[in-house]
Amino acid sequence: MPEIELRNISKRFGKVTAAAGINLKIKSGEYVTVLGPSGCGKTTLVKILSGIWEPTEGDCFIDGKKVTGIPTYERDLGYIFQNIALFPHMTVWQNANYAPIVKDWDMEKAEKETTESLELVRALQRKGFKPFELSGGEKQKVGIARALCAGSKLLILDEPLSALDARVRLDLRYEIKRLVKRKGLTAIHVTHDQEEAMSTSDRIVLMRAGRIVEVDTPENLYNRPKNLFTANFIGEANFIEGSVANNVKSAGSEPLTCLSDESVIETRHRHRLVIKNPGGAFKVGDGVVIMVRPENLSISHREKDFSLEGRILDKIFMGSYMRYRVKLITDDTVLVEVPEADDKIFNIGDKVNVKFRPKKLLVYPQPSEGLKEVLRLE
Amino acid sequence: MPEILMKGLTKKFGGLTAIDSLDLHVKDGEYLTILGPTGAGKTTLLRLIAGLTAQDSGEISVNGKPLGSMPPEERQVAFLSQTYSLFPHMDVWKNTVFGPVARGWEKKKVDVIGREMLEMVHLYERKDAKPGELSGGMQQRNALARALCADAKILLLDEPLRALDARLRLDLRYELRKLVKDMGMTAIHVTHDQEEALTISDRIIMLKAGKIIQSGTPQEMFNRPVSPFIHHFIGEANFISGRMTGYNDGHGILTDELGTAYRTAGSQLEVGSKAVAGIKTEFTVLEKEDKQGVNTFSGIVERKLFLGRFTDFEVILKEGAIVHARLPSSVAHKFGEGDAVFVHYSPERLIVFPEPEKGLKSELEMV
Repeated sequence: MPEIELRNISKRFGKVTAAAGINLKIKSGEYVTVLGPSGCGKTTLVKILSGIWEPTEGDCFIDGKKVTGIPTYERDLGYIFQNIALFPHMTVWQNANYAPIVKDWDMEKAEKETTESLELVRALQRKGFKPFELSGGEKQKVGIARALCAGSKLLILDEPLSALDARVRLDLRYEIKRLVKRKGLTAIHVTHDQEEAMSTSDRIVLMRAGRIVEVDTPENLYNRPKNLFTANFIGEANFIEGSVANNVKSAGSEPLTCLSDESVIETRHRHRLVIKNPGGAFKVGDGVVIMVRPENLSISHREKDFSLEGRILDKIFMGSYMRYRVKLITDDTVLVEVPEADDKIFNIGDKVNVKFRPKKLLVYPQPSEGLKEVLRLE
Repeated sequence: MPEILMKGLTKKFGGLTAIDSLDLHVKDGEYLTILGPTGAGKTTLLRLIAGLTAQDSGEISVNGKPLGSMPPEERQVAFLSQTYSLFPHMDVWKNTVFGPVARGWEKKKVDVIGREMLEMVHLYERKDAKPGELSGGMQQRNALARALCADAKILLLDEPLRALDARLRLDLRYELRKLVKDMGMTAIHVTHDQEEALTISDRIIMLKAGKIIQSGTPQEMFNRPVSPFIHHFIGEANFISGRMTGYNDGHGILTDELGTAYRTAGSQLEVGSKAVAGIKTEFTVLEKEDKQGVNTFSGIVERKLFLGRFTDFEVILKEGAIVHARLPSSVAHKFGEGDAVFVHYSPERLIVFPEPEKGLKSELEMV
């Protein structure tokens, strides 16, 4: 059960910096996902950890031992990538049994390890099949079994599901997590898919442009992201720009230094939203951005507290809920998702009130580079 | 503003029937999605419409005019595949106006349409960049602009978002639909992603083994699936196998092998016939206490997975059956792994089907 540490890792390719000043500790037995948009440096990071590339600066430690300069095959790790190349002329069993044979384990141990690994990925009944007789998902599972059979306690999964169909991907991500936990492995999983990251990980490392943006549990990143990029990347979100107006209790009689219990944010066109969330030190007049998830907004035909008027631009059926796109009187467009079996209540063009429950709003300082730049996905 | 009519369309590859006497009417200005598992014939259907492959029999007509063996370039069809194949040595602008220039349009007209299309896909300010300098999403939009410049009225999209980052896909599918609607095009979009299909389409057709097994609005496909396969593919469902043993108050009663009776939605099946009943995981309810009495079963939470908006639960019932439930995360905190819970199926949501010919397991297989 290995422990991992990346200390001040940087990697440059000519003028391009793929990773800059990365510090990260991963506990033994932890399932950590490295998430981020294409080109953010996530694959670079695991290639450095596995010894495929050497860092320009910094060091990697596995179980406290510095591994910088040590070749991949001596680092004792399993590496699974997007399209696992199985040996086409070998059966499922021979593929999985490959490492134990090469490593010259005794027959009994090799047999036991291979049986167990194939059982874990639920592919033992396919042991006599050749790769071409398997579906994409099955091939990937056999590839995982083969990596497990090598006996390493550290597993690196580099976009292991990206080549598979959406549905197969769903089933397989649960399987991978289950077997990693069952075998007590430490796993580092690279993906661009935020939902895959949330459903498999103990912790997520979110990266952007070669740097770590935020590291936390899936719940915290979704519900209490520390910055705006995280809020937008980890799930869909609404953002409304404004400025701190005053404190409701003091009714504007004296200036505030901090958002206390309840405060008022003035939006575009001088509308007001009440927030109930101490989110750091803000002064009256400070530019801020409010973030709220679509499922935390609701709509109504009648006027209600904490609401802004708007008009429905678009409505989309999502199965167990409806999604509305609403243009507010503040000129912001927001997504509202309501669990509603009856889709006839609200229609495109309807004038509605969108309710912003004060407790569900998070507030961030207005980013100096502009909101659009901070949220940019590509 | 084209409408497309397909009649008795068949395409075989050797012994394999990829498209099997298919009839389909795509309305003018419609955004139609073809959904189905790998190998269902989705891409073949697009290639037939585009004229890239010739059918063995049947006919495709556009606006009442049979296409016959008309070559692709005369069909006014734009085809966008999942790999964009931009010319790597040309910049965004040259890639975009490639078609009009090759056709020898006058420069003024080329400039107007090129600019219009690039502005539509928010790429005009990058017109001097080479494809290698663009992100995946930008390349995809460049390819889309190039396809649109061909002045086609029919847009065929073969998994156009597949190669993109998951998060970016969510934004682009909205933009794609808006673009198609703004331009008044008829679009046929192939995907295997059911959520993408729900969000982008006016109508979905479900293709399996070259045949349309259901066609309808997203609501119809989700709420009134015609087979267990569709019930499980659009959304995800829990199933029970048994026999219909009676009807009561418009509800059906299905009894499983262990003698447990379930109250189901209404159905036309005869009493005594073998049947399966399925309920979407989104409508599978978890409770702390047995409040309903009917259709309520006790179990233990085996697994809990946070997905953001939703949290997925796997519950093992007393008799050993595994049930999945997808709850809004706002209520998920009430249940933890190892907790004793009650699973409840609302009868209206428990949809009944005749037992599939080859059994339930084979029916639900994705490939």
